[in-house]
Amino acid sequence: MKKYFKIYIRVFKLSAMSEMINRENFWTWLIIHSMSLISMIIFFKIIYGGTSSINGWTEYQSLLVLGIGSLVTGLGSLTFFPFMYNFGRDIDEGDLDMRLIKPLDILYQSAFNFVDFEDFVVVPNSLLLIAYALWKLHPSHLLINILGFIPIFISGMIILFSLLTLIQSLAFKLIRVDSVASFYWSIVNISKYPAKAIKGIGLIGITLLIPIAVISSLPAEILFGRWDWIWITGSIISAIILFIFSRWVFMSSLRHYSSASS
Amino acid sequence: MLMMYALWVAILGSGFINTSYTNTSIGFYYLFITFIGVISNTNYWRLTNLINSGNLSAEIIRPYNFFLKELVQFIPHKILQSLVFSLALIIFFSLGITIHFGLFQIFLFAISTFLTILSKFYIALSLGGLGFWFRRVHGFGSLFWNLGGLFSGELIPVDLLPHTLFLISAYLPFRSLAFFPVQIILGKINSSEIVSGFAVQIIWLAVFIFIAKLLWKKGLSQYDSAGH
Repeated sequence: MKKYFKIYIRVFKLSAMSEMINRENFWTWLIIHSMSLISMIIFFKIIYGGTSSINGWTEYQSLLVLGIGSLVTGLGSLTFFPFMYNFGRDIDEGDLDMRLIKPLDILYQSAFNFVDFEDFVVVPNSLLLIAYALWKLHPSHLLINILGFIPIFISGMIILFSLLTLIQSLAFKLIRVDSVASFYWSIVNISKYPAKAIKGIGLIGITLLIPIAVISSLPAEILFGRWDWIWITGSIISAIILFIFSRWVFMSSLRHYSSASS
Repeated sequence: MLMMYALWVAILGSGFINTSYTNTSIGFYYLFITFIGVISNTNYWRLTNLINSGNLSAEIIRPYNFFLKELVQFIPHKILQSLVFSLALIIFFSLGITIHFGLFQIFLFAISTFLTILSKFYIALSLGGLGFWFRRVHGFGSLFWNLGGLFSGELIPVDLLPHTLFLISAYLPFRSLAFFPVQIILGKINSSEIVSGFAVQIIWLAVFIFIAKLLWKKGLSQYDSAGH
């Protein structure tokens, strides 16, 4: 475990050095993400200008979901999101060979191969938004809520990682899963909306929204003090099962890999 | 698109005021706005990669118009996307979710969508052409389209924006790139607004053509490449 952490720190430093070569790029992305977040805040301001709540979700509760959804983007970019970009190409070009011969877990190497600083810059913005929404909501027992929030937030991240692992496992069969990044980004982006506020779209629609709700709406609920134990238990169990299952699928799919470099 | 539709169903169900949209019209709104976003999307990274890799040299010495070739090669993909969209429309109609529009409306919508495709193509050429001066240009692209998200109607219908933002949107190109064609097909604007809308679209298209040609002229004058 310590070894993997050290490797991650090294990858982090190398990615940071690479990003700092293009400092103007870093500042450009800071502006982009700030504008994007402001657009979303305006969206919710307009919506709540016309209604006091959406199925029981108030303006600041929705802004909290937006903040947490943005935090997911930032922390995902800091950790496993780069997994979605070049994995298919690495298989196609035989670059996976180099990873396979290293004495490290292949899933770890594939998922944590660089840190995407361009999207990491959303973290300070999202933390500010979360703090602002919490200040407006002034929930009681905030410390306990934060302690409950952390494992549920991590569960949501594990579910996202497992979904990406499952999708990327297809690359061993299909080689280029080109639309993976846009499909996965759409899942990440819709986690910025309060999925648990959506009702009346049929059983299939609601079922599809469950993973989205677990990623951001559920942690937001805990932060403002609404503890939905069925959802909390479901989130933790799903994270464990999905992680084990996705890893098993990935390792099984790896057997289909044959080097393309020779 | 589905998420925005589902969210709007929830919003409208919560007694949202200040809107003339219904569940059906908001569903069609996001269907058409998504279609326009998808069909007019042009990849500008490819152009930057051509510049940065030096492979542009091989392209520009060939005896054809490079811009035209770039435009034409997207046509089969656009046709395929239109067929998928038609399928989505059929599914909508078969579910009993219908909207009435005449042949003339479809014709005007098609022209407006075509102008959007052309505009976005020249915007992509301009963004991609920044590769003559910068190695990484996707930041500029994201900056441009993020600003556009709010004013084009992709995030929220422009007519629901606060008055100040609505006025600002009138001076920016984004509204005519997505919101205007959708307003035509949904029958939400009258003939004089359609005429002025087309005039605005054509003016912005001319501006984008001018900027793209200027950037590429300046860029090519200082471009050099080496290879084997």
